[in-house]
This record gives sequence, structure tokens and C-alpha cells, in this order.
Amino acid sequence: MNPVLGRVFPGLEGRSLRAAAVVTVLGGLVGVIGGESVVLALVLALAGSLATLSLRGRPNPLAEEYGLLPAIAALGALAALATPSLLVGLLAGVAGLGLLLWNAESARDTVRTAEPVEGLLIPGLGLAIALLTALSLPTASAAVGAAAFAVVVALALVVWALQGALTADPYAAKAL
Amino acid sequence: MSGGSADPGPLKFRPRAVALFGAAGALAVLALATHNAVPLFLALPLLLGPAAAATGAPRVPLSFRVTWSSEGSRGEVEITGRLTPSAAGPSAGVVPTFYRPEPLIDRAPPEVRSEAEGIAFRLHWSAPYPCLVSVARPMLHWRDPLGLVERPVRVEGDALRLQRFPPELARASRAPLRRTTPLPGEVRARQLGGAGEFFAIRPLAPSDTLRQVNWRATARAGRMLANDFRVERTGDLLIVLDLRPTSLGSEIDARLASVAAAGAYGLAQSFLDQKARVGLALYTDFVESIPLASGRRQRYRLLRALQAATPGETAGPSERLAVSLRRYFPPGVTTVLFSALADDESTLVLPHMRRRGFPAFVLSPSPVPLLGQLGPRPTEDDERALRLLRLVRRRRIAEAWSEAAVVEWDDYWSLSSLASFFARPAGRRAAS
Repeated sequence: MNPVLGRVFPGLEGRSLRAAAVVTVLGGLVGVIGGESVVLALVLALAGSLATLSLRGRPNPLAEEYGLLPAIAALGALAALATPSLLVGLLAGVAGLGLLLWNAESARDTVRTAEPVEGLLIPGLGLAIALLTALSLPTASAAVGAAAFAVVVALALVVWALQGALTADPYAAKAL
Repeated sequence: MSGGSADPGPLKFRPRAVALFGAAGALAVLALATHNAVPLFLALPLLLGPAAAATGAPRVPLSFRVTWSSEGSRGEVEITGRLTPSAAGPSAGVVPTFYRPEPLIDRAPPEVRSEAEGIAFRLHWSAPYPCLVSVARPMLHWRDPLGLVERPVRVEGDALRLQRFPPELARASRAPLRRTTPLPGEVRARQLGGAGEFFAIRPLAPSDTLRQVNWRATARAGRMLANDFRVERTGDLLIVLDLRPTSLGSEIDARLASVAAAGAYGLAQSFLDQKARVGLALYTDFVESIPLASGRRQRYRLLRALQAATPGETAGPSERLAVSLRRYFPPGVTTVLFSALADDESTLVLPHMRRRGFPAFVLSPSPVPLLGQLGPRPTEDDERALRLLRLVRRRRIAEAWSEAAVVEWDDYWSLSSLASFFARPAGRRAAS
């Protein structure tokens, strides 16, 4: 038996193309603003996005699952070569969020579970905290990085706990 | 605790989430190696995304009930259904996966719609040839909005049974059957006809004969009335499937077995509706039999056996089939043999069966349509080979006719040849 349904045949559908365009532009900007040559930045960003598009467009579930890796590798190379600055960091972080959105787009799924933007709340907050930390606190302090990480973990735990309280099981406790 | 103790099922990271974790880890290492914070900013959302996705998973076990049915005629299979939540809990984010059994093929992409009451779906499949298949219940998973983690969701409901065979088989029960019990009138048939025991009076229909007109009742009522008669019990039918491997190869054998099994079930269903007793024998190297019986249970027994019918790996001798039939079934029972008559050995079974008291009527699904599925541009050699195949098949059927009546089944979605065969007096004699 073939588990084929509940899915449509893959293709280069609009949402994926839009996500690819956003990631490519952001990757190019990371390279250009980070001081790399325009050609190198555009070629790397474009190559990564095209490789990912071609992988995710193939009728192979494995290619779809791991298809984002070329785009991440290209962005990672651009980020590593870029000269650090807050703007470049911001662009890289937003590109990371764009990658998450692109990853959520699955051409094969017929049902969209929910708006993927909803899933960006915690990663976006984490990124905002990291950027604010980098902007407002003195640099070159390992303790600041550790504290920022602790804040992000604490935030995730708080959200998890709130989620539990909001979607708690509807059954009353015995004592009540 | 009523609901809290229930296990909602394991939360599983999908491979794409693991890939994100791995890539983010590599970016962090790259940032440390190059003393550059930019890759860390890129890595942060990728690290937090899967962790955040896991926090949104429902805490209560989700459960859905599937209600579905199939429609369509001939090879068209349209399945419509709905998945409704059977317990309290969020139903958003639930994604179905459907399993298409062989030999069904996709005709169009499925339609799946999320609604307030659940998930409605419509599957567009087609059957390339008659078949009996069970469609397993769909699998459901809850997924987070980013599609990174999933949790299995319980599905209740029955598998969907699909039976696709030519509609003419429903009319095959008009053929008379031999009786093998001493008191054939014990169970009456449901069929009404022009002869048998008086049943009721009704208005005359254009198809009625003059013999059916009840003249006295007509005179009293002042309008034409006719008699209905309840046909006596129809008799017994033995269906034999020759599932021995042939020189056509295992794939073609399996398809032919599917066609034969679907035809056998259609025929059995038709006669069981008339309260006839129907038995089944599947022959590979030994006989697997279901004794003669009638009723709903027998229908399910036959369906299960025919769904599981596959060609064997070794072929038993033709005489063994006839000898074994004698052990399980009374001689003289009306016998229908489903055989592709693909080789000379398969025609040898007919004289053996006749000698042992089972003169058979053969319904032969032709392998030519399966073999002759030429590509978009068939070459001259292909067409010549197909013509030769048809000639060989015609000769073999002509040889088989010397032992038994044979109906060739070359258009899988029509058995008009069988209907016209039964309509002829010679055909009715052959069947009985």
C-alpha cells in the first residue's frame, strides 16, 4: 500500500516561491551589507535557494524533509563571511525566521494545519531578546550571552506552562 | 482520574526538525570558530523553532471517528468521508494520511477540507481492472503550525471494503442451477417468475406472457391481472478458481487472480441473493475450500477468502483438483471455473473435472488486455505480437470448448458475453 494521499503532488507552488524569494533577498543583503562582493553574495544566496527549491520540488519525501539544508548552508557561509554588525545580525536573524517559514510550507500537504506565522512567536521573541541584548549590553561578556540564553529558555518554559494551563484537560479533579 | 491518565501518544520530532537542530548546531560551531556572531543570529530561530513547536502540542489524547463510503461505477472509485472528533480536545492541526491499496491508482489529487465539525475528504481513485480490496483507515497526526513535531491521533471506524466487478454479474442468477440436496424446496428463493408456486396477483406488465394472465381475476376486476409465481429454490453453485502459476509471470497472474476473484464474488453474491447455496474452491497446489452454504455469513466467508486469493508459487497437477473437489463437494453441482486458460495445463483440468462429476462452465478472464497494454507509440513488432497472442488464445479457447462451455472475458468491465450466453437456450443448457 502506498501512503500517497492526504497529499498532493509536489510542485513549485506560490507560497514556497515567495518564501524562497524572501530568503534569497535577505541572504544577499547579509552578504552585501556584510562587506562581501555583490556577485558572491547574490550567487551564493541564489544557488542555495535554487538547490532547495529543486530538492523540495521532487516527489521524494526524504528530499522534502532535508531539502532546506542547501539554503541554510549558503546563508551560513554568507553569515560567516560577513563583517559583524547589528544590522547584519538582524538580517541574519530574520533570514532564519524566513527559513522556518519556508520549512513549514509543504507542497504535498493538502491541509494547512494552521498559519505558520503563529509558530514564529517564540523564535521571534528569542531573536528580539538576543538583538536587544547585543544592542544595549556591553559586548565581549560571556556572562551576558549565558544570561540571554537563560532568559530565552525561561521564556520558552513560561510559554509552555501557559499553553498547558490554557489547553488543560477538561476533566475536573477528584477533589472538586 | 478519568481523562488525565490517558496517554496522548508520543510526541515525535519530524526529520526536518532534526535537520534544523543539526544545521543550527553547525552554525553555532561556525560562529565560535570564526569569532563571528552573525551565524549565531541565523542559528537562533532554527534552534528555538523546534523547541517552541513542541510546546503547542495538545495535552489530551485526540480521537477521531471516520465515516466513509465509496461510489462510482466500473473502474471509477470515489470515496467520500468525514473525520469527526469523538472526544473533547482541539481538532486544529490534524493532518490525515490515506493509504491507497493496490491495484487502485490515483485519478486526481484528493480533496481534503478542514471544517468546523472535522475534516471532510474526497478521494479520486480508479481501478484498472475488477478487484476486491479493503482500504485501511486513514492515519491522523497532529502537527504544529511550523510542521516540525507531530503526535499520532487515534482513529476509530471500520476499513472500507471496495468491490468492483461488471454489473452483468448481478443478472447471472437467472441461470438455472442443479440441486444436490434431497429436499430442494425447503428454502424458497426470493425470485418471482412465471413458473413455480403461486405467490400473488398483480397488474399485467407488457413483458408478461399470455400464460401468466389470470383470466378469472381479470374478468372480476375488469382490468388485466397476472399471476406471480415464486420460483423454487435455485440450487447449488460451486465456484472454482484456478490460481496456479502460469507462464505469463507472477505480475500478470496476480492481476488475473484479482479479476477472477472479483468476478467470482459478483457471481456468488448474485446467487446468494437468491438463497442458493454457494461453495468455493481455490486451487494452487492444493485445494482450499469453503463448503456449500447460503446466507450472510457465507457471503463474508467468501469475501474474505477471495480477497486473500493470490496465485500460488507451485502448480499442482490438474487431476488433484478434480479428486479434491470430490472430497469437499457433492458431484453434479453446477460448477463455474474461473481460469485464464493461459497454458495447455489449465485446459487439462476440464476433462478431469468432468470425469469426477463436475462438468464445469468456464468463465475465462483474458490475459490479452493485460499483455497488450502497448506504450503510446506501439511498434509494428508489438502489434504483430499482440495479433499472435490473440490467435493463440482463440485456438486454446476453441480446444477448451470441446470439453466445456467457455465464455471469454476480454472486456473486464463488461460481461455482456455472459449475459447473452445465458440468454441463449444452448447457454442455459450448458449452465445447468
